[in-house]
Amino acid sequence: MWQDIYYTRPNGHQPAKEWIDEQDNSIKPSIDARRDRLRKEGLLLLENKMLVPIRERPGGRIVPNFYELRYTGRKKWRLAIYYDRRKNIFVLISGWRKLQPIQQQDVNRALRLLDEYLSE
Amino acid sequence: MSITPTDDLIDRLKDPEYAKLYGEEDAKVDFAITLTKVRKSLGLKQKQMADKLGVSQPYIAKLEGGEANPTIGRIGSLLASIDLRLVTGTAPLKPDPMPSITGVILMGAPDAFEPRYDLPVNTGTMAGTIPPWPSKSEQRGAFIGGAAR
Repeated sequence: MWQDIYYTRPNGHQPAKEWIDEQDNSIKPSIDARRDRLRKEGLLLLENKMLVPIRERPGGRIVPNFYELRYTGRKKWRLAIYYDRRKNIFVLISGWRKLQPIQQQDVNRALRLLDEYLSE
Repeated sequence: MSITPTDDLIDRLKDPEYAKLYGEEDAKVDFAITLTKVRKSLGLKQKQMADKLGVSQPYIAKLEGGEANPTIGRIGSLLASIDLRLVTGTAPLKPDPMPSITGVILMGAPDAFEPRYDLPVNTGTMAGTIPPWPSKSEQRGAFIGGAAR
């Protein structure tokens, strides 16, 4: 079992927590259930595509240790999660509702937040 | 110490309505993980598993993604196709709190993150699958139970 934490920005904001908190009860339980299962099962979730590596852009380079936890049901969402090998923890970076096939803007924001986390 | 996602979940579960919704999702995810482990233990791709169970590959993907909501009877029927049966159990809904980050032992991370396919399919009180009941003749002198095929 692993521990997971919210990434806290230098300005005190926690983008992943803030995003989860603002979701209603038609979405939040699916986030909680999958996130808690990631804590227990780790990368086994890659096998059933609940967890997918994040690419810088479609067809681009896979960002090491950076994944999106996903729900592809009716109300799709993504939660960007970094596995910090040094601390052996999952870091919840940011989340977004998946409304279009490609939402590069949300991926770019997650990448910027990851850079910020790694530069600490 | 800062609030963790697990702390938030424990807090949300104090709401009985939320607990019900979470319980529904958790059950689907639990079966999804069980089915994935079974498929991996059999060395099958989703398409091969679908053929064995007599369903479509997209349905297997939905089951393994925790997005389908099959009845217990349907699960039993599917598992019977691969000579397994469903074993149910219960566990506390509230997740285990974790030690503080400073208490985490830095173990070999790459090893820790190798997919752990050798894990037993079911453990203790958790739901899982085991082979169908043995015949009376098979039962004589044989240990019954456990997670192995």
